[in-house]
Amino acid sequence: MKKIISLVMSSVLAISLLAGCGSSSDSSNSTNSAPSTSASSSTAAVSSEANGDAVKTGLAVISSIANSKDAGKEDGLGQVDSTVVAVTVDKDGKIVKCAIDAAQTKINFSAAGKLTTDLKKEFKSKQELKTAYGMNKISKLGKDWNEEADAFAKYVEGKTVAEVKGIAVNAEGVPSDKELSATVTIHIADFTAAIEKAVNSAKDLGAKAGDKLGLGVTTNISKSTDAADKDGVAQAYSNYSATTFGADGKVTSCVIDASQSDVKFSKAGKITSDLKAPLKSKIELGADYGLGKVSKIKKEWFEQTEALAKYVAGKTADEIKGIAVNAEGVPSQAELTSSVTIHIGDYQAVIAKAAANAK
Amino acid sequence: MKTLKKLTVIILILAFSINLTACADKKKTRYEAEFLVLFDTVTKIVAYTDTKEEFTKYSQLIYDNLKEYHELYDIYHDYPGKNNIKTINDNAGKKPVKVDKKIIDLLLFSKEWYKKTDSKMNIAFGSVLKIWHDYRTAGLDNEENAKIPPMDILKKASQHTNINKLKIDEKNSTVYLEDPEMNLDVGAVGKGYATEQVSKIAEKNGFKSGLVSVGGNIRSIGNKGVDNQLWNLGIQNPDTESKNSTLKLIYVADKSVVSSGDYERYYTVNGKRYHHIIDPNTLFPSEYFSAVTIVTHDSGMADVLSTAIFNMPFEQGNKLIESLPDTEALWVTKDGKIKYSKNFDKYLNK
Repeated sequence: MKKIISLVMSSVLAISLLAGCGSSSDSSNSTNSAPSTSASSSTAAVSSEANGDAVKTGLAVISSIANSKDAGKEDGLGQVDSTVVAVTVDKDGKIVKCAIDAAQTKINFSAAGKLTTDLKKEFKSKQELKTAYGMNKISKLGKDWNEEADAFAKYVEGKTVAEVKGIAVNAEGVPSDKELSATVTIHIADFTAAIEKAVNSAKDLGAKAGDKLGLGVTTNISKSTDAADKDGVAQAYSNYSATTFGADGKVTSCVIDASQSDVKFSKAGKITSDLKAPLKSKIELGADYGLGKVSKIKKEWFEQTEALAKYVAGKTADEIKGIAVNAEGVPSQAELTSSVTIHIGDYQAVIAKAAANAK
Repeated sequence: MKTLKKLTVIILILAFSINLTACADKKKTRYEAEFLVLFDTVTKIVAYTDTKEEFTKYSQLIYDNLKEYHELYDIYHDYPGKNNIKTINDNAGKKPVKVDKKIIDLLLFSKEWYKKTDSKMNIAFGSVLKIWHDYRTAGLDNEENAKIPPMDILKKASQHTNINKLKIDEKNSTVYLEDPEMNLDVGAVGKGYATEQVSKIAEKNGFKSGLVSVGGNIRSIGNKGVDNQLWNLGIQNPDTESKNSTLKLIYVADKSVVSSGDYERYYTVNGKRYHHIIDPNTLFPSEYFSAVTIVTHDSGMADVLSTAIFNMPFEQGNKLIESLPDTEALWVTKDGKIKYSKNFDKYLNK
């Protein structure tokens, strides 16, 4: 009797286990339309068949403090001019998409070496200022800086760096090429140099030829200090992001960089920085440690920005700002990992801006 | 024989119904939600649910409640029409500040744990932590000039860390810092405490099984909700150069898992690393361990304990853990050895 029952039991269990559930793959994500945000997500190497339309994503910044002035009767000025360019580049080295922006940060200090600009002030990029920048009053064409920069960005699309650099430039540094003179009257030397730098730094991060490209810039001066025993510092701290979006609105690649440009001044309000010294972005400084090896000390910045770039891959602009919900398959090893909190810092703002500007 | 037939039928029905329940579980999908904007870190929510809608409903609920805590516990930003911990700090030595009960509750909880951890977790330690924070960010921004804070500045700041000068008036819901030089910093407790409260709210609203991770502080609610499986969670290897990023896998239900370590946030001066967890005795980064992990039910308690035992010798920390019910810890020494509290091994097996 017991034997029979146990036989029946075991055969029933065996049959039902075999037939009852069917394939266990039901539990995996047949509804999975969203890519996984793990390391093997959409930023992974592009498959060979799609390689034809893979493009590289590049970001470059060129900064100068040459326009800074000592304090005298009027307040002194620490002025940082940063030209920022984002590009996507195809396999032939042709620029597919280009976005140009600039941050002009003016920080005043008195003849007593005290800062007179509000350190909480938020600075807008020239693209954000649009008509507020006021160049259209003086431009012969009545166009704003952002319109002219956009026109130049449009003009270089489809060209290689050599072709861009091959534009005839008159003595003023303004293009004399017919097609362009109707739209660009500002000096393009910085644009060209930044475009070349962006193309040269471009990497294959998962973007495709048809992707939209957005450029974001944020600037604050909160780390500036008055002169005392040590020189004062007027510092423009800017974050930059070049982000590409696929047809489905999801991030396909993301590069983040930052620059801290200092203008030092004495207690007498005299500038002590070399106004001609070259200024470098954080990525460029990191690369100085040879073989792309980042110094230990810079590790935190790189970890933050890389973690963020990885985080945004495969997400839409709304998901970056709000909640991203994904159907996931079986987790790789652990459902989640307990670790020391990584702080995100201010970088999400610059990605949100890049997303808003993407075209 | 009839009895046998009946029995067989009953067994059959039973067996199938058990299996049907198991199969229903199998059809659940694993969803993951992520968001960035709160507590300056990445928050993740994981759950196995029947529909995306169900999952999204709970994610939104958790997000909305966490946002409230994030704004109240912020020490860096102001929010229009809200008094938060920054408001309390801004009014140190000036006047009591009327605050939300969520702040009062956190401060009372923190005061209680200040005593229980032999002052190794002190939310009134802000003036010292601020100096380290400023030197660290300056050192990261300009490495040639990276410096460690001079001891006399640290000692001066440590004169202003007396938690008894934090006056909480529950009746009037006000908080006053008697010492104008003191500063609250809830970095060692705020995230965990908020995670715990928000998880409880989600549970009350029917969220029976899920994970909430606020920047690597994990709170598990129930079990996986699939075949009664436990949650399998990783513990980060403090040796970030190692091929194995996961040090250990643990299996838990209804537990919080919080880690503290020297491996994520640090700067280097003259080749020596200075991490972000400061020992109240030495006023310098504590040097006992590379990392510690706490497993206990309450997320706020786990957060507090992970900082506290990171700041204690093993014997003292172990004694504290043993005195607490249903609480276990794992220590990773500076030379990479792992030590466990008495019953930690129960989490190492499925």
